[in-house]
Amino acid sequence: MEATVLLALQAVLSGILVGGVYGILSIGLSLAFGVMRIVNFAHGELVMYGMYAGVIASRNFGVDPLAILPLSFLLTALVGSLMYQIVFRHFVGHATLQQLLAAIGCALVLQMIAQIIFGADARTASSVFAGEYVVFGPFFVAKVQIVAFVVAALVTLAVELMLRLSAWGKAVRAVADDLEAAEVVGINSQYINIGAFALACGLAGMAGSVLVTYYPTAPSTGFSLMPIIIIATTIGGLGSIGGTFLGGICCGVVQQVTAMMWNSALQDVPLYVLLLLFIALRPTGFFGVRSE
Amino acid sequence: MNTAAPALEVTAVSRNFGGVAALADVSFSVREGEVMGLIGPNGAGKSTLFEIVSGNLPPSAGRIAYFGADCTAQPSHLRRRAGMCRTFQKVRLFESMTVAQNIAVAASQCPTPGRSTRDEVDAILTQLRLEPLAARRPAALTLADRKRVEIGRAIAGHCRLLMLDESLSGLTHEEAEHLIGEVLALNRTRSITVIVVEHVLSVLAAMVQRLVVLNNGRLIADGTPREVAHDPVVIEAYLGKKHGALL
Amino acid sequence: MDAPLAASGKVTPQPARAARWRTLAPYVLPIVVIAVLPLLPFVNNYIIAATVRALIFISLGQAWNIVAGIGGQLSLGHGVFLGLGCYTTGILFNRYGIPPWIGGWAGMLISLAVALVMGSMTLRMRGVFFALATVAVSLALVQIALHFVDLTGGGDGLALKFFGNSLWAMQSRAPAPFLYGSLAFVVAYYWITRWVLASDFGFAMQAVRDDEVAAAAAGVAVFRTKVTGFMLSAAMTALAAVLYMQFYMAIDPEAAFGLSQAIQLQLPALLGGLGTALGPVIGGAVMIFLSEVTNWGSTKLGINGVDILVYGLMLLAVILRAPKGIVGLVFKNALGGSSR
Repeated sequence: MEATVLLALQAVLSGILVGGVYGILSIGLSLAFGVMRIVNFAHGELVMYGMYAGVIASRNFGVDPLAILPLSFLLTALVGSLMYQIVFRHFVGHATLQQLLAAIGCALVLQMIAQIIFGADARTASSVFAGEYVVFGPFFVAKVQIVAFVVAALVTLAVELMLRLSAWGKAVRAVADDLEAAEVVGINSQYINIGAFALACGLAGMAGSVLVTYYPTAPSTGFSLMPIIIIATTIGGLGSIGGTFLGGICCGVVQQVTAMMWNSALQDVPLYVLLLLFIALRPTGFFGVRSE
Repeated sequence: MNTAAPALEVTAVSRNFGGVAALADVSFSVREGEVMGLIGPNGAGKSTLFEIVSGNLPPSAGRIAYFGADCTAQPSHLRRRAGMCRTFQKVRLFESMTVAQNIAVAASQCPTPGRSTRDEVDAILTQLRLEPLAARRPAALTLADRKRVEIGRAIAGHCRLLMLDESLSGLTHEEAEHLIGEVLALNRTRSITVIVVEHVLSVLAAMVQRLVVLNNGRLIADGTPREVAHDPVVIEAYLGKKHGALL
Repeated sequence: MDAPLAASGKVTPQPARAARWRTLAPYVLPIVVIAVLPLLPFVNNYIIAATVRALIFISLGQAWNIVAGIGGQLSLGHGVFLGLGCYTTGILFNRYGIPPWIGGWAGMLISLAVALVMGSMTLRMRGVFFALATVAVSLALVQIALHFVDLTGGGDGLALKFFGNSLWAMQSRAPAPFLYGSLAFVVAYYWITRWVLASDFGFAMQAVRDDEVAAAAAGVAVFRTKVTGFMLSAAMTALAAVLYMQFYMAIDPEAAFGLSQAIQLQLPALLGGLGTALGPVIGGAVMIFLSEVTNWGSTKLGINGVDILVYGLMLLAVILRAPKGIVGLVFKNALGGSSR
């Protein structure tokens, strides 16, 4: 029995670390939804672009992906702004069928551009921390994953603080809460929206560069990450940054515990069940403010 | 069902949102065939009461009875099929369908025995003088026409109680008079009980036989338009001070 | 109950006999052309097979169009029913020798049950959550299908036992029989769509699509309408899946339940005209044509994936510029029932 408990605790530990990264992968999606009711299905593709940026940094320049985080942020923020101007700008305010389909269209285009440029095979990046393990007590964790978690947590904290304390952040929250009231007070929602969306997309790319330190990338990776991102956001609460981060941790733990204790091939199934339950019973998640 | 039962009986209805009481212990009843107005300043709770009566919002306490039958827990579409019909403050038509099709949806969902959907649609188009517009889509209509179509859809099939939610807003004086005339005609020819929710008193005065006034979630007056217009409590609610009369 | 709802919108009188031929000709001609394809001298099996692929794809798009176009509910994971249909017929055939003529109905029943459960759980919520739920179920099924290797063949997929030319097994060496089968499906689904559009139920679905609250105020049982529409769409997808399975003779979890496939089968209706009967047919034809052209061009250049890029761009173009699809651009509200 003790062995099982130890295994479970190990799984929980890995789960938390992996979950933190799931969290940072997801907060951008949550932000876009909270402020503009945009469900950005192309979010995963932006993560994938950040991952490729990390691969190029690592393979072509010998630089650790973590060192180029600001660059990844800028790259995907730019792509995101373009997407917003061309596509999403018309669909702000309601998550309609049209908006979802437009987002899917963007996702397909971004994915295929990546496939044409990089080919369909998987690529890996290497980090300076790769291959090293930290052992404490009966538990061990990959150093890479600890670093990734720390970065993820710090970034999430930074975003949360910025939204709460900075003038721009407060303006963003005002627009998210009540658009008309915010405009009455003189906030230009157009600028806020594109800024928030650029931030959300930048976070995606940055998260991708963090993830690629221990997870391989391919053009299809963005798509394959979307389910976890959606689940983390739904459980944590659409629109809540901290909530989504915790949702990510929750996903990580459920996934790792399932993988280690039951069956790694079915590790995502309990997550899908959780998603369905949340959708049916509490679509606003643990910390979300509104449903739509 | 009791034939002498009132068309609508609202008993001790309350509704809370968080800590705020939007409605507190509201009671009144509406006789069959009556034309009643429900008024009150903004924030008085008219919309909340409207949504509770039409079935889109459950009350925190109280009871709604429709022709003697308790319908407090009944979903809104079933109330509609039983003949409790409503319009919306901001007209909501099915934009992808023609005028005739809009009305036909309601007619087919709430059939009257012995009458086909087609006949019912034709009858309503005729009564509300909508025949020339039958094949048009809502986007091509004026606001006044859209409101008429919405009323046509509301009364289609089986309608015994018609509730209008600030239906006169946005209309010119002449358009409003026409609409009022049509509604009163429906009241006479189809024996439809009418409840009109408005927040401007003057509009209703000529139309209704009876006025019920809400303020801060409570019923503060119930009488003829003349009585209500001179009621000091009502005047104070609207104007905030002692005044001669509201009309 | 067809006449009042459809006829009330029509302004033109019934065409005379000769004129009626003219209106029917655009529909009858393509059917005749496709039907005689195998008899034409310059047509080889590749062309016939490509036509079959197109027609099966169109019929799947037509099924999706019911819930998404007419009902207005975005089912992103419709692959669930494609997969359930394929795997059910395949497993029943390989393991128990049950011919697909019977097994297909089992697939349909299972899909109906799954649609009922999924719909009941998620259709009370906003559309976004329904869409996400369909994604969740289809991805879960991918993993489940990968896992239960004994039943489904796992990652290698399920291949039907080969019986050569056999009517009983619904198999054929040449693609020609499938040409007629898939053509029949497309024609049948076209008429089913027309019938739904003109029926009380179809109008209730469209009312729900246009404005749920107003629909309830008109007496429509909104939740029940949504679930029923979803179930109908699921059943149609599962039946078309039988043809899919028998033609390709094999299925794997990703192709069956995967999102990529599910998104592609939305494109015919989106491009052609969501919520119309003709939309998926035209949209599907255009898509396949574009797909063949881009693939031909891009394989010359050594790149693949260009056809999906084109799909993405077309999807964006349609959403942003022509929301009513090709049908909306060309016919401008002249179709029966209602077009958006």
